[in-house]
Amino acid sequence: MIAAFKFISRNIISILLLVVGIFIGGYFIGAVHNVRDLLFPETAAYVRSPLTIVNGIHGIGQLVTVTSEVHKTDVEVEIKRGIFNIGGYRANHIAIGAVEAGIDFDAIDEDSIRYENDAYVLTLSAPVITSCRIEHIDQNQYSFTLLRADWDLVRQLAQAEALEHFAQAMIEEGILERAEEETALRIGNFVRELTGKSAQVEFAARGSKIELPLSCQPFEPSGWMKDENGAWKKQ
Amino acid sequence: MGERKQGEAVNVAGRVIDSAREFIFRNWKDIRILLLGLFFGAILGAVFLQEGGRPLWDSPTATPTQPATSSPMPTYTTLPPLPTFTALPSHTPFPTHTSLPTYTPPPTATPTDTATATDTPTNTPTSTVTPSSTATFTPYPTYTALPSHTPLPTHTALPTYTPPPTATPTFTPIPPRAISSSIRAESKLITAQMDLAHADVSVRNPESRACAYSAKHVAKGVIEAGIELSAIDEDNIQYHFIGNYYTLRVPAPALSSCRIEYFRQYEQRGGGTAFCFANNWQEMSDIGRHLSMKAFVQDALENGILEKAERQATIVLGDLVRELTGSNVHIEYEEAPEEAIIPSSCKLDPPSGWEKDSEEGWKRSS
Repeated sequence: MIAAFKFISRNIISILLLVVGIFIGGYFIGAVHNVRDLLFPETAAYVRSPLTIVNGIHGIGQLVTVTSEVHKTDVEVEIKRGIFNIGGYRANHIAIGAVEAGIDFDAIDEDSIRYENDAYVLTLSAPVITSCRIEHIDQNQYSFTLLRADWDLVRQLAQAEALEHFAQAMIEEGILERAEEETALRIGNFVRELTGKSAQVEFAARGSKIELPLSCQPFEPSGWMKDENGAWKKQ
Repeated sequence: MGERKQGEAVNVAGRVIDSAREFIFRNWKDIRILLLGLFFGAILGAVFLQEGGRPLWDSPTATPTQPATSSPMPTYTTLPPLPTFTALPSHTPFPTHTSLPTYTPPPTATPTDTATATDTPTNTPTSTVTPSSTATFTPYPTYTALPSHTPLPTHTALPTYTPPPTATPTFTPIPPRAISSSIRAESKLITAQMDLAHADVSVRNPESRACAYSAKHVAKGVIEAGIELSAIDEDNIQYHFIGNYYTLRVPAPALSSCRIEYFRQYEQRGGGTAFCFANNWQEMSDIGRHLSMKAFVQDALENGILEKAERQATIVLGDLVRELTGSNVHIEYEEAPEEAIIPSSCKLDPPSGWEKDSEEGWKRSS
């Protein structure tokens, strides 16, 4: 042990030079990685696509009355790894998606309809977010990296983050209130055209916690989970 | 003179070279170590760019950072989609809300009906004019002044009902972090949902022989279909007295939306030396997503998503009409177009600059 310490202290400059060399060498390769598109762009790709598996087909009844196209820029994800984060890497993303809202049409039953004062009164369930989707995610501004980077994992984390944010942002924007207005209008018109009577549309009270559908709850990349501070951690 | 200057320059250069050589000899050990480090660093970098390899360390944390609130501002310029809001005239059918004609109950106010008490309760719930109307009911002559019964304009207080204010362009303020480029009203009754999965979508770049690389992809998606409810108007509804049933003519079911919920690239192979300058996996991934979506749409149509949507719409709409009217209903569907209409969410663009070249080949367009 003492001999090892003596060796290190005697050769400290050499060791530092070795480390500096390793860093410079690794970063040089990283830089080359970054300009590869400029030097050697791909020219062709061949594709082999297997059969699609149909997991299931369900009958549902959802009336979608509002769609909001959303996009988010600067979704930066950094993977930290190794001592002093020497193997860390990061990338920036632009995510484009949509959030839809409406009501559960299946929930309308005879108890939801009453006839008062020569008009129909419909009591519908509170509007909900019916689905979320990411239509495109672009990865850019790659950092240099000394070690191998899993850029697809970075993209997945960015997608999970963006999807979660889209739904919350649109709820704050008032998408559910807008869906309520549109639903009242559409259902009111339909009932009027069908029966010739006017219709009043009421909604059940919304719960304090808004439940999001599965499509708005992103897939967590395998082995990763969000901690209580909102940071992703590998289990 | 010139020769002398030239000689001096040569001497200076010689001295510099001598001192550099002397420095190298004196520090040869350190320089050798630095070069060794550079060599090892380059090797390490190359090895770990070889994307088929395994990282030395696992990745313990990832920090998705929230974007700065000000950074999305440049995209303000891209917000002119506001014109879509002008499409809200559909909001202005409020005249139909003035169902006032039903409020002209003069028959109940016939001269024989002196019992004004019965008159008032029926009117009170909806008309705010009851106090004055009961007063004028007692003297016969004032009965002719029934027009006084039509102060219904007070009913036009319905402006409180007017949702359009919320639908004005004020709905598009740029939020701090996510930018909502447009909010549009829809009326899609979604009645069928198909879950699909796709594994081993292999994309290979064969062009640079020694550096050819490929990756496989797995995808999971959802395709939804239904009918457009806003297309149903009074012309599409018929009531048949004989048989006491309704006929509803509704648009043919169509795809409503598509989404890829999970997409992962795996088994990245080839192209893995520093001399190949690594690989652009993102473009491979984008081609894979494009192809998966295309396959999902095609397979959903072939597996009868539209037929399922039609059957379910018949049930859902039929139930609603029956509960509203107490009559039976017969639902007819308009003829579907020969080629299914594909909504924009079901068309994922391939990466820019790429186009389909043959049955299974893709080429960079220029």
